[in-house]
Amino acid sequence: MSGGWKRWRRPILDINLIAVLLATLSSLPPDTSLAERRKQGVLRYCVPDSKDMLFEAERQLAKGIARQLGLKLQPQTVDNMGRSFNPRDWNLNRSQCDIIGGIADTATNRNFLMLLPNGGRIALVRAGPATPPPRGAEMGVFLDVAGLDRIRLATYLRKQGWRTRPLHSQDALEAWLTEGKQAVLSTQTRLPAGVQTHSLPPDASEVTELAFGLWRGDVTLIRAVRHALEQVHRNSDV
Amino acid sequence: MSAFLPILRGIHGVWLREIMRATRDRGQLLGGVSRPLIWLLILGVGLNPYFRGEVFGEVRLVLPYNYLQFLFPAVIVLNIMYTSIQFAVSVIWDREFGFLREVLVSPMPRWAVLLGKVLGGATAATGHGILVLILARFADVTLAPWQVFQAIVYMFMLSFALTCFGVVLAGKVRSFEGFGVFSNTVILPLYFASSSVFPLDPSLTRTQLAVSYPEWLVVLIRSNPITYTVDVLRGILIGFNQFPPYIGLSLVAAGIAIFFLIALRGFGK
Repeated sequence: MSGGWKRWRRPILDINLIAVLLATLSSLPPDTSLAERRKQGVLRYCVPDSKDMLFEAERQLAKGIARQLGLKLQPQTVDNMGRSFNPRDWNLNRSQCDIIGGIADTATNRNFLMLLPNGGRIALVRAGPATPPPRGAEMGVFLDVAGLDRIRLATYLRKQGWRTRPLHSQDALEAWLTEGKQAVLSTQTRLPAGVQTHSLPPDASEVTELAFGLWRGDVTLIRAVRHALEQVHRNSDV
Repeated sequence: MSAFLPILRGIHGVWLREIMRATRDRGQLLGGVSRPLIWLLILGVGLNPYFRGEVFGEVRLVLPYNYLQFLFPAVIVLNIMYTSIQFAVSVIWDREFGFLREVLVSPMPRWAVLLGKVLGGATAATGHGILVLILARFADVTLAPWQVFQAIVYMFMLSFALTCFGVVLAGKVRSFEGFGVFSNTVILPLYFASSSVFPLDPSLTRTQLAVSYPEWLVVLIRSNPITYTVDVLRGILIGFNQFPPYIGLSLVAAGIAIFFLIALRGFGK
């Protein structure tokens, strides 16, 4: 038995040595993305509107992440965000943001960014009285965010026999709802006090998860943010 | 059953000899470490910035992964390819020094001797593939135990097919030097022309692909079996496939059967 062990001792030692060497090397940083943030002390967080209460929960999460990383969160308002279907028109680049907030977790967006789901969700809902209006009645439509399936919604609205009335601004929406009328809008829309929302059936709208978007290739930063996000969720920091 | 037991013992003996030789060969072990270090730590890190996102809506690598993650499974396959094919040197060695003749005159059937040798080579090659898995954290590849298990089973199948291929090659070459040159002219072209270091964008049509790459390269990559075998491992490790995984799995299964039979025909002649 001891002879058998002796025979294998050297190869086992060699393999263990190699495994330890590889394990040690695997802890080397593959890039400078996290080191750069640490040097500057800030984490730049791009959002459509930094004062919008609808992004408050997400902003608190981002703050928690920055705190975990020992950085200061620096929100950057980018007005162009969400204004067009093509994210290229938002003019978001690496020199502006480290983390992009309010991103829908879709296959298309995953081709552009590394997405870390943050627990937020967006869907279309009906706002107004509990009973849906009868066929032929007017239904307001207010879509303030890009990326939702408008064709699916249009098909649903047509099937219900409602006459649609596009509402182009927040003021127009509020006036419409205050009159006691109903509207279809996203869960991210600000509503006047006392107005209730009701979920729509799946053939009208899908629920989209929201995520933080990070630049693909920022391996160390993504790893650290992922870990920090888990910590924040675990500690119920937000 | 009682007739089969001595054969099993013989297979085990040949397998053990190959394992002992592979684990005592420090040069081979060093090669198994240096390849992933060069490819992943140097080439991967060096090229990663050129594939990273710069502007939201614009991409250079239309894949939901970074370059290191994309390269990681390919480096495992490269390590397996080298170890498996170069294992055939041991066949030439055994032939040159008469060991093969001694074993072949034993009561063990020829297929059992070959099976023992190939299993030994495949085990060593799988071990070299497993070594690369240790670098998963570096490449930001998160692995669940089930993925590791699937990867090891697949790596062993691939190693078996490639080891048989190496034995077939060894049958055509009569010297160590000749085999060294021959194996490099086989391994490197197969590897580079397999979408292992650059992706064939799955979202593009054949016509669109022809805009990015010349038609001859696309044809070369699509007709290279290693393209599909790397793709299967990518599917297991990072959940990304450019082609249906059954193509790669069928090729590996066919490779095991066909190369083993061809290797057996020439083995010991």
